[in-house]
Amino acid sequence: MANYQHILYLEDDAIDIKNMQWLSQQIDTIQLHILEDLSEVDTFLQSHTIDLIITDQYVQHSHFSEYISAFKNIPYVVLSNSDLEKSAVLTSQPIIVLSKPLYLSAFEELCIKKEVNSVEQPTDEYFDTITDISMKNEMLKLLTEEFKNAVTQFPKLIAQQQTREARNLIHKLSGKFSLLKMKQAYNSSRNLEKELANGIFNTTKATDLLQKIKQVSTYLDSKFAIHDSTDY
Amino acid sequence: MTTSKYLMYLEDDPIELMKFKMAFKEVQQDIAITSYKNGLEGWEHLIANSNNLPQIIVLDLRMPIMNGFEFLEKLKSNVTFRKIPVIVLTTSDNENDILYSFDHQVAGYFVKPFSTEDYNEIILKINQYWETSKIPL
Repeated sequence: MANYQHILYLEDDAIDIKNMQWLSQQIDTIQLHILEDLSEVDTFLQSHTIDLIITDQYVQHSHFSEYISAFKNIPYVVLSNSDLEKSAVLTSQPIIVLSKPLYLSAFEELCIKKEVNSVEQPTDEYFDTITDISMKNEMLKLLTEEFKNAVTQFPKLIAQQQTREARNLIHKLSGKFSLLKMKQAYNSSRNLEKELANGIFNTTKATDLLQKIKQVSTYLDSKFAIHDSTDY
Repeated sequence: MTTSKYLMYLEDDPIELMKFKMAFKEVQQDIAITSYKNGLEGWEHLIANSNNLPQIIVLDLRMPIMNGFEFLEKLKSNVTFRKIPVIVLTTSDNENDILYSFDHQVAGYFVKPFSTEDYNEIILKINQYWETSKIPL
């Protein structure tokens, strides 16, 4: 049974709506509601019980954070083509930011396999223990750049099925997931690396890992990139 | 290189190198670390410093230009350098990699673990090995 059955999707793009409708149809227990205008959320929620809100970053040119009070305490997820704007991160707290297009495996993980708030999140605990500030800053800078590059490079490697290059990229990232205390991502990258070493290119697994890479990149970018020249 | 005792670490990833240095510094402040980004750079260092060799080499396996296996093969084929103990520190738990490494007389093979605590424990053990084992000069 799904943990979240009544989902409100805030989106104005027809293709994205169609994709979400298809995804929700794959899980019997999901009831999907769609609004194409953020200003209607408040009224809608007065007459409907919603377990989870999935929102685009911008709907009809309005940023979701402008309507965050209307979400009340309902957990929500941001699904976006672009990085979450830093101001939005600071003023509102999405459970997770996912990149479009949303794939079935990620949707299932969101709705079925576990509670949304237990979806693996990166943490900076390891970096908090580093007393050498210049080394800490250097590490975070390199880490941010590496994930940013991976977001650009990995989709190309997937599209071109470049096994060796993909293996090299993932090999470097697996250790970084451990620094960010992301056990699931670490295991996924290790498994994928082993498969690639055997010449197997599983596009679904690679795409799922790409989602995690994007998640980390967004996290690092929003948390650290704005402090480029100062101590973290 | 003026330090008489030092560890050579071959690792191409700068973040892994920093992680190692920080963990090693926690358990050992008196030993210098010299690092290179691939086997070739490490090899060239040995050639240029044959009268001041590292007491131990910590080796990553997957590196560009000259990987850990190629370096190991070259090292162990050299009469002067083959006595330097080598410890492999890698993400690979592949049985063939382990066999190959021990076939080439490595002194130890450690798989980088997920948790920082376990990683630090490995570094502690490497240091204990350094401190307690007799190492050829």
